Amino acid sequence: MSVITETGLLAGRNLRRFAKSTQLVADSLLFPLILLFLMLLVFGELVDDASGGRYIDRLAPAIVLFSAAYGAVGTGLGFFTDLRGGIVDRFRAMNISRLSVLGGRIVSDLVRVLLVAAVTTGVAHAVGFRFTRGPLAALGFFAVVVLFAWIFLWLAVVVAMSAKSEQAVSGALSSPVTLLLFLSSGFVPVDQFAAWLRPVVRANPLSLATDALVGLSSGGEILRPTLFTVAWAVAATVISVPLAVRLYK
Amino acid sequence: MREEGVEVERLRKVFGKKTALEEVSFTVEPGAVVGLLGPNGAGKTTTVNCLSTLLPLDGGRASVAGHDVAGDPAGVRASIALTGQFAAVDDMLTGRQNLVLFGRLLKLDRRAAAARAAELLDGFRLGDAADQPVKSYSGGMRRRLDLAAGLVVKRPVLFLDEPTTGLDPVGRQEMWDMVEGLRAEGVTLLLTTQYLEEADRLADRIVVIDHGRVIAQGTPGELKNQVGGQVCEVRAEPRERTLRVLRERFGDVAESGGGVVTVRGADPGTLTDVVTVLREAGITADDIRLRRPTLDEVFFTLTGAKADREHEEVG
Repeated sequence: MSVITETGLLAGRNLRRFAKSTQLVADSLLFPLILLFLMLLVFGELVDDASGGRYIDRLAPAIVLFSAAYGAVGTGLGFFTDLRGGIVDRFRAMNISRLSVLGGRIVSDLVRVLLVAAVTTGVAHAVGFRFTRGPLAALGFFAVVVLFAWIFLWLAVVVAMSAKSEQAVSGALSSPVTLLLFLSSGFVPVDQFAAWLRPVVRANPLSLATDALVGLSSGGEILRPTLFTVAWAVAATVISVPLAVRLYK
Repeated sequence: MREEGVEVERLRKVFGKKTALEEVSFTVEPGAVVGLLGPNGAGKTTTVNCLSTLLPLDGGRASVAGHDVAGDPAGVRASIALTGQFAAVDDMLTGRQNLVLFGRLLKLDRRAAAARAAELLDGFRLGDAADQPVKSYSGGMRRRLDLAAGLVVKRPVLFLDEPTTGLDPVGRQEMWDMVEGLRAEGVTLLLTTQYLEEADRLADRIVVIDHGRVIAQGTPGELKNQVGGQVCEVRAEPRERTLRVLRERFGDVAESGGGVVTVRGADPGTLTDVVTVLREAGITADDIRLRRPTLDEVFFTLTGAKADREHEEVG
């Protein structure tokens, strides 16, 4: 009971901070939209012609996921600031559960990811992105986004607790996430990659989750990519969560 | 076992190869204010962090308000408030939002948390800025808010880690007033500081630590005697002769920088003696004054005395 209340209070505090930093709100909301229109403009016709499909159906989910993963940089930096600023020490010296501080951070940032995802898909609607599989599938869409973000948020928390500087935090998070994007089938179809890279691209959680989101929005395979995304999330949980809890002590 | 005091016995803390605390022992009686005095890196913050369960102990034992720090950390956390060296408040939130958040985390309901926040904001003279974000506060206001955050729920034991470091004289004075108010309420207080003056003013007893060891402890009066009274500074030409003349008459005379000759172990009587000695020698002093020993001199004396004792033990 008290863990849930404490987590809620701390998540509320983080969200309040987020809402107050106009710059951060603008960045988190605009960045995916700029990326969306840019990619559509540059590659839209090319990919539409090459794959015979509608690029936006794939692009919008890929960008939702990429911004969710990239949001982990903000999570890492935010938590690092809290650790260095002393406020986490204050929480630790208070008689509250150790899980609450970590939980509050994860919950608030999942809410932030959902907000960004909602805005991104909303705007993508204007350029042809549609949920065609009904309300339940749409809910599933956002559930997969949460699952995917979960992997990176815990990673961010672990990085924040192990890093020595802000630069180290953003370096350790942004490069892998960017690499993940380019080695995914989010922007470019799998068969456009060199043959030896294809297995990597297929196993990439960003590719898998994109497949799942495409299935849940415009239609396509759902079960297999969703299960693989779940597998990634479980693996990340088994590794990152105990590590985070141990580091926090 | 004492109910509300702090007992520290042979506390030891090691970071990798560096020993932060060799052996620290002291007691804070219930309701007393003890000043932990030492230079940067002496182990003051480490001691406070060990006592507030932020760091595990590597040796020795400590109890806070009757709870063993290693055995019952939750009990310790429920009995203490900690105000750190860096104001540990959220600078994006307002003062009020901060205090309400801490109140609710300490299990006050919404209304009680709001009422307590309002009460503290008034008590700490933050009422006017209550709804401004903390980042617009002055250093002194932040510290006061930080102290208030530690007092949202009354705790029998309070740790204040360098509460006035980095504050301007006005901020320092205000902080001192707050601490004196707490002392009057009977809170058990352990306060760390680099300033002799601060420890002198606020603490019933002072524990001096250096390199992770307690090198002296006692009431401010006892310590001052141990350090040897005050220092008489003489600025006079020719300096060589001044030095010689004074050395003939006083025991502990040294030349410090800037053409100043210092006579240590001085008292108001020394001042008259110095003037007489100089007049007899026909030296006109540009400046003669009496001042308290600086922290440097306290440490010089204390560590010097300790080294001497060790020699005796060996010999």
